[in-house]
Amino acid sequence: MALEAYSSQAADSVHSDVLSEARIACYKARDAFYACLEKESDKKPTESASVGLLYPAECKKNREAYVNQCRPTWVKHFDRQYCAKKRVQRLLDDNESRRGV
Amino acid sequence: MVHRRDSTLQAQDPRPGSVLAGIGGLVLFIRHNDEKRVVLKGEGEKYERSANKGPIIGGPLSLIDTEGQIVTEKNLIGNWVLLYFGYTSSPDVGPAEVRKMANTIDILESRQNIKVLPVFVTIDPQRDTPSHLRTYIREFDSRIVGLTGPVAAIRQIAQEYRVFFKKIDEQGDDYLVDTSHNMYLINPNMEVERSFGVEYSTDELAEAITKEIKKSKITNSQN
Repeated sequence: MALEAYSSQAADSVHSDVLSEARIACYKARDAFYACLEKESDKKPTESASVGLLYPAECKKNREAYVNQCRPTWVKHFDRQYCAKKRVQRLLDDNESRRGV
Repeated sequence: MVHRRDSTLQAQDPRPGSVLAGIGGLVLFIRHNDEKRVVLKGEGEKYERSANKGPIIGGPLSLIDTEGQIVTEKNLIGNWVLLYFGYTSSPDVGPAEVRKMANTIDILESRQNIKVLPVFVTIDPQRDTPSHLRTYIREFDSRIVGLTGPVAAIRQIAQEYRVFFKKIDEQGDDYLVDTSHNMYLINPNMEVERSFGVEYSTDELAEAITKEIKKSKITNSQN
């Protein structure tokens, strides 16, 4: 009985921001933002993104486009992934300083 | 002096004897009860726990598909089923897994002539309504059966398949669902053969499924 009630009550709305068109736009904005971060990596990061990620002010426009295109939880998720990737890179590159310890 | 005769050397106090008799009766009763409840090895219900193989996962299900119709395990019996638990709002892993499932089904059908029914059960039923699920799945492969339902039904099937899912990163109305993104291969008798994680690529998945199906003695009733 609960199942029939569910199927008659379920809304007909479709969340279009997880469908492929919006998704692809989100991925493009995200990639543009991270490419900007790579390009400007020598600049000092002053602006604060989410989950502790910092980025230089040159990438502000990319950041805004990115945040507009993607859901906030997705933005946090991708930022966290990027930070983890950066940390691993740093650890892999930094194998000189602790040699012999 | 009065010598007491042997017959009066019995214990005058009846309490210790009756207590012992009572304990003996209780032991006998518990033993009788246990023997009555015995389920011999190999018998028992279809979905009971197996002592040495671990819990038998899988079980009856009763959910709503994307057309609003009720789907139970009777609709799935007789097919090999590839069952995936996911949700549409996944940032990256979800769509990749569904794409992998669709491609694997294609490879299996074209190269190995094996028909496997792909099923997507959402673990986010509050946002994944039947119509939304239909639109989402149509972008990948409309052969995938999308299943949703009230939260209690989803919770029950997740419990049966031992699927972990948890809302995380809640921001207002928005949230992500942490889950293992496992795919389960189910034989035509509705028994779970094995599970595949995200580490399997499309080709590896197709190969592993082919191996399992060829190894199994149960043939698909439609093949």
